[in-house]
Amino acid sequence: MSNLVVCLACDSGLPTTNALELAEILSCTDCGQEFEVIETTPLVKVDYAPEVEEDWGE
Amino acid sequence: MTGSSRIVVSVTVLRPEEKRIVEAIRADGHDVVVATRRTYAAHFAQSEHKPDLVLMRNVSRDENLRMAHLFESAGVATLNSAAAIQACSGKDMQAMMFARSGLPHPRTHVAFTVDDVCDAFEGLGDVVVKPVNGSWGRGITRITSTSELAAWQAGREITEPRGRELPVIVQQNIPKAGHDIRAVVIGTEVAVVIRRVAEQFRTNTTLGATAEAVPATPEVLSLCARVVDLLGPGIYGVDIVQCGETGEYYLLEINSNPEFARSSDFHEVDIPAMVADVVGRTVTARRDLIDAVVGS
Repeated sequence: MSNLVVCLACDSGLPTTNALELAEILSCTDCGQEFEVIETTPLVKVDYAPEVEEDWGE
Repeated sequence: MTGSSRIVVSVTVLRPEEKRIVEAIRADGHDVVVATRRTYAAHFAQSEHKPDLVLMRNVSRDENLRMAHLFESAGVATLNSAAAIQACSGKDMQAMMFARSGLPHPRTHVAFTVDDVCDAFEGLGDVVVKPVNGSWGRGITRITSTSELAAWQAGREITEPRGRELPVIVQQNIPKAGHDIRAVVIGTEVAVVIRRVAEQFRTNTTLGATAEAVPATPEVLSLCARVVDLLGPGIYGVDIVQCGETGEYYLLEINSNPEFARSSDFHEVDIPAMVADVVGRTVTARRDLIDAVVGS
């Protein structure tokens, strides 16, 4: 299922593996932007990761 | 290994610690799917393949509670239960619950106005003001004098003039000897006890407090057992402080979604494996219960 996933911010290739999970967070090694995996099959798709909200945390 | 089941892990985002839990549950032979806000509807729609259990790991507290209620309303059990998550969702409600249950807790007032905060400070003296729904130590302030109280008031007048972030709790400060205690309960057992040390009064590891694993004292074990009696078996981060002057232990707070990424490196307790084990045993217990009822 691994395919080239491109950073939506800077067009660099995102670091992916064959063991990606839905909702996993990927960080662009070039620009630092974080992305959420929103599909894993048939192709990996990402969207911008949600920002940390006020109610996040234990 | 307790037999294959279909487990949903409900998350806001899949952080490395949630991914480790997913891997541990799979290693026990269960089918695991991850549910997010984008995908949860599919798990309700598949009536023939309802999950056996949903493990609630949403880092968003509001989302965690709402999703747990939704899954339970659809007839799917969650861990922790929605009731347990609800009980842990506000420091104000926890204070009431601890008082009702006779659990040792610092004297606490719920303040709906700034005047309430002033009145509580006059009554208690050295206090800690906390947002009822704060996390990671955000917004927590210690007030020891009228000048500090005035500074707190002035800050709020500028940043929060309409008082929309009220109520807060005003809590008797327990003079701790530079540390507090986090006990992680998994199922009914205390998995690990961590002592968190900080130079300031806030001892959240997210704020840079250092932490070390320590043996569980009888007092800590007793408090954790009472938490399980109160909320049922589940996964809890139990925050405890020992008074440096009297030696008494106080239950500060129960977290229904304890994090372990920052502490697992030094305590070497395999939290994901323990969570996976409790997930398997919870499913088995529920099946046994259903079999007993149906078969009777």
